Amino acid sequence: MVETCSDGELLKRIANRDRTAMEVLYDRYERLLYSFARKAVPDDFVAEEIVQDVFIKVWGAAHTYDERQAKLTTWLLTIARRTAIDHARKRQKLIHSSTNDEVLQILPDDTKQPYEWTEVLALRQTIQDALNELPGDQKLLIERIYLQGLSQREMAELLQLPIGTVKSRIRLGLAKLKDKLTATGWEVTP
Amino acid sequence: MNEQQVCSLRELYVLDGLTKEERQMFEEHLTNCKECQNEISLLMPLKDWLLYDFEMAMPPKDMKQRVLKNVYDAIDNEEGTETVVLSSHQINDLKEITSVLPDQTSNDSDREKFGKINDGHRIPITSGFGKYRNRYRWFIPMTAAAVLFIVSGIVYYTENPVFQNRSQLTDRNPLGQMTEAIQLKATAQFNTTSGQALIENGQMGRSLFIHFSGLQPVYGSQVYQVWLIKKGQPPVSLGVFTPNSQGKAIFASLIPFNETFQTVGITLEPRAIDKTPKGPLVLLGSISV
Repeated sequence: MVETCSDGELLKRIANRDRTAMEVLYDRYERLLYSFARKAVPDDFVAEEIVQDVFIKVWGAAHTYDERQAKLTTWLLTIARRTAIDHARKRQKLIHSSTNDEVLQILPDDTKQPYEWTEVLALRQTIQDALNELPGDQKLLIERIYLQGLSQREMAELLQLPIGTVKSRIRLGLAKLKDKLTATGWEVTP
Repeated sequence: MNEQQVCSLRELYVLDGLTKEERQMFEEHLTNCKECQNEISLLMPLKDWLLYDFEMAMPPKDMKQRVLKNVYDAIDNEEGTETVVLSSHQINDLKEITSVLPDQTSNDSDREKFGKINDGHRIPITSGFGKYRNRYRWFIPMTAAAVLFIVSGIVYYTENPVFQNRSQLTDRNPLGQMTEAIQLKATAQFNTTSGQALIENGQMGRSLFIHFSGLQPVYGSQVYQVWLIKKGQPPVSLGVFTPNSQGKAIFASLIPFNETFQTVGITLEPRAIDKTPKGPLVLLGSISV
């Protein structure tokens, strides 16, 4: 039964052009990828498009996935991040330029999660706890640059700060993030 | 930039926040700077952690059906011939587009070859965007250059009375030889939109330039898409664009070699990756390329 295959098995089947395996993988990771895409872009349609592009890329790159190198969730989210940045660059004028946290106003997590989500949710909670302890501007800079692909110059213009200040706030933010994650068990990397 | 300044780029390097040039410079520096090497090795795991910085969101209803259909369409289009079923409004669009052309595919064998648009609502998409994109991938940078070039060219054309008369177009035109200028016809739904298409024969081949005004704004993932059509065959996408805040846009693309087309059509598509027209027809014009 394809439904009971491990993630690694599914990817092998997808590499061999098995569409049933693709659908099982889709069912397992649709919500993860959509949630990530909604964080990266403030638009339902674009988020759906990002998920779509991720699965097109997965079909083409399934043979390159090595479960010894990264968890499947990390691999998928890495593809999703690059895809989201590509979309954002293509549609820069459609992206909100405001600095409020509208992007984060998403549906509450009120549904029961399947067993496979336990680890993802734990990782998510850990990083969000660490990020929430940062001053707001440091968190914003890190998220916007990493998730939306903005440059230091674009962030400096957006926040009306000198580039040197942008750099130093990112440096401080990442250093604090590293310390906080180290305190929670750095060895448990995604 | 001195060593200290280059070192100050390392956090941005970790976040992929450097320009291509900055990244190259930093990577050269990284090969010799032990301090940066140590810091980078400590910071790099943060990249994976940050991927999990999202709130849980519920996918829209029916998203799976839409996404997987589009995924398989894209895959089929990349990997070879596939037959697709068109919706009734797509058929109407195609009929509207193709009805302006003389019937050059009147016998049954040709109809089989080009697809049963009328009776089966099925057309092959072998000449659709996927194959086209691979075949003409090298066009992309040229098209980008052409876009920049045509901005001045269009202005020159529209402001210089000599170009209002086709017979006066010559090789001295900075765009190459302008062979055709067409005013596109707007459909009833988009009657405030206008488009002026120019065909140019240059060293890179034939190019199509279109100057748009009065375009309705796009929302979400909507884009305008430009198609070339040969009677009886599925439309070939030349690319997509979005208008500026004043509803204006300039589109430029090379035209495929060794192929002839009789119609240019512009549709408003729900998303950029569709391989066949799915949205309403906006503008239409007869050309001869």
